[in-house]
Amino acid sequence: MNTNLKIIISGPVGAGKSSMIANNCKIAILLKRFPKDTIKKQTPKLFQAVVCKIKTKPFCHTQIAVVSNMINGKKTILLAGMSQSEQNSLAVLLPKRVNGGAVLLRNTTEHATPQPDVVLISLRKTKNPSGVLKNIKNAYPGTPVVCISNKPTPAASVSLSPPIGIEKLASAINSALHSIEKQKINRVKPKKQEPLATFNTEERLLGGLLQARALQRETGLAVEFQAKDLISYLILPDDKVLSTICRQTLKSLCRVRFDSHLFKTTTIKASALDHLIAEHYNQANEWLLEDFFWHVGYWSSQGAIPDKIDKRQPLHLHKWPNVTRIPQPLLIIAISALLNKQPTSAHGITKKLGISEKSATQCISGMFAAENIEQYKIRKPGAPLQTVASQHTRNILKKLAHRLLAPWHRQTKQST
Amino acid sequence: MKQETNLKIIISGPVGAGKSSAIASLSDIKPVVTDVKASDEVSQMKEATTVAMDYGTINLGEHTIHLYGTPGQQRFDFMWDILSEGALGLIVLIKHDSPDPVGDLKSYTDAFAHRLDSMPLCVGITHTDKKPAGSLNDYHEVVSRWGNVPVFTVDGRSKKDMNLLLMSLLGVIEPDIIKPLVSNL
Repeated sequence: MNTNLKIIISGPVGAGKSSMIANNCKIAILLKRFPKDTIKKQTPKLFQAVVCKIKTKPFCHTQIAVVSNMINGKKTILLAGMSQSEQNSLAVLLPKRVNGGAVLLRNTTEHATPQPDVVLISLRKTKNPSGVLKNIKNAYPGTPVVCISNKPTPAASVSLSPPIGIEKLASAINSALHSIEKQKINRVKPKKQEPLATFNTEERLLGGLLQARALQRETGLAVEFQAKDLISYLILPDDKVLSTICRQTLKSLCRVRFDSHLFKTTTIKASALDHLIAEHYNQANEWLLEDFFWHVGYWSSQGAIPDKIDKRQPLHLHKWPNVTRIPQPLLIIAISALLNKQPTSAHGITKKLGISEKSATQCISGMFAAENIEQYKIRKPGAPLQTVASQHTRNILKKLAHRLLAPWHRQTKQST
Repeated sequence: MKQETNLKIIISGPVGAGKSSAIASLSDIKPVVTDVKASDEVSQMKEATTVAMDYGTINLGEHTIHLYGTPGQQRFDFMWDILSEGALGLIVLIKHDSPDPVGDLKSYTDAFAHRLDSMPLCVGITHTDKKPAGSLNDYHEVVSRWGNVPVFTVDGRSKKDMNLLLMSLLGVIEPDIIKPLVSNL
C-alpha cells in the first residue's frame, strides 16, 4: 500500500530544524544553501514533502531520501555525478524550463523510489563512465538518461558535450521526457489492434456542419448551412444553432448519406440576420452549439467513428462534456475520466472500459463532434491531478460509486 | 478490526447557488443547518442564510461520507478553510443568473487555490432555468489551471444531477473506480 506520511518540524530561526532533518532522516535538503529569497519562495512546498523509501542498490554506498513535490504531478529528475554547487545552480535554473515543471532529486550515489522520470548524469569526472552508466541503467530500467560527457556516449538516451548552456540542457531533458511519454502510450496499445469501423464524415450531415462551424469561427459571422432546399441550419456567433427542422428529423437525417456537392454554406451579414431568422427559422428549434454537435456526432455513428479520427493515435480529453444535457451520462463520465488520466485510442477505450463497440463509437463520435476530445499530440499544461487515495479510501469510494449508480441500474432493469 | 475513515466532500459557492439544496439531495439524513434570518443584502434574495455550515451524510454501511456546505458570504470565508482541511474533493456551485457568475467562480476557486493542487474540483452551474447557459467555455477557462475540470449545468434540487456531479468527482480522483460499474450499462 502506497502511503505518504508527513511530519512537520517547526520552530524559530536557528532552533535546529534543518539539522534535525539532516541528521535523523538522511534527507537531501534541497533548499539549504539557497539564497534567502529563494528559500522563502520554495519553503511552502516542503510541507507537501514526500519522504520516499530508501532502496539500496549494489552501486550505492550511502543512503538518501528525497524531499520532493511529486504529488503536484511534476516531472522528477535525478541528478548524479555532480558537485554540490552544480546541483544548486540546476535547482534554480532547470525546473521552470522543463515542460510542466520539475522537481530535482539530488544525490550523486544513491537510488530512491519511486523511479525518476529522467536521470541527468555528469560523467566528466568519472574514471569508468561506461560502468557507471550501466549501473544507472540497471537501477532505473526504462528511464531515459541524459548524459554530460567529454566523449560521445552511445548508451545514453541523449549525450551532450561541454560547453552546455541551460537552454540546451533543458531542451535535451524535454526531448527525453517526450520520447518516454510516447513510449508509455505505445505500451498501452494492444498488440493486435482490431480496427473500429469508420464512416466518411464528408458524406454525412456532420461533415458539412463541421465545415460551417469552421467558417463561422473564421469569419465571426453567422453561417447558414443548407443540405437540401428545405433543410437549413444557422450557426450563430453566440454559440447557438437554429434549425428549420425538429430534433427527431435531425436524428434520422444524421444517418443518411449525402452527396457533399449538395451542401451549401453562406455567411450572413449582421444586418440581414434578424430578417432571415424571422422569415425561415423557428425559435423552438434552437440548440446550444456544443449540445447540437454532440447529438449530430452521436446520431451519425451507427457503430462507427468519424474517419477524421486517426484510429492508431490516442485520444485525450480536451474539455469535460456537459453530461447533464446528453444521453449516456455515465459512459461519458467514464470515458472522460479515462482520457483525462491516460490518452487512449478509440479501440483502447472499448477494451479498457469493457463497453460495447456501439456505445463506445457513439460516445466517441459525439465527443469528437463537440470538441470534447482531440487527437493526442502533447500533454496540455495543467497535468491531471495525481491520485493519492489509499486502497482503503478507494474501497470506500467504490461503494460510493455503486450507491450513486443505483438509480441508473434500477432504470436499466425496469427498461429491460 | 474496523478501520474508521471519515471522508468529507465540501460544497461551496455564493449565496443562493443551491448548496443547501444540493446537500439535501445527496444526504441520507435530514441536513443539519445553521441558518439564521438574513439581515443584510441577502434578505432580498432569501429569508434565511447559512452562517457556519450545512451538514449531511451519505451512509455506506460501516463508512460515512460527510458533506459540508460552506456559508456563501465572503465574510465567513475563514470557515471555508477550516471545513476544507483534509477534504476528498470540492464541488463549487455557481449561480448562473448572478451579475458576474464567471467572476464568482474565479473568486471561489482563488479562495481554495492553495488546496486545489491536491484536492479534486468540479463545478456545477445552477439557475440556468432563469438565465439559459450557452457555452460553458468561460467557466472552463477559469478552472483550466487545474487541468480538465468537470463543469456541468445542474439543478441543486435534482438528485440525478448531483449524483452525476459527484460521479465525475470520483472519476477525477480515480477513473478505475467507475470502470467496472459502467461495463454492464
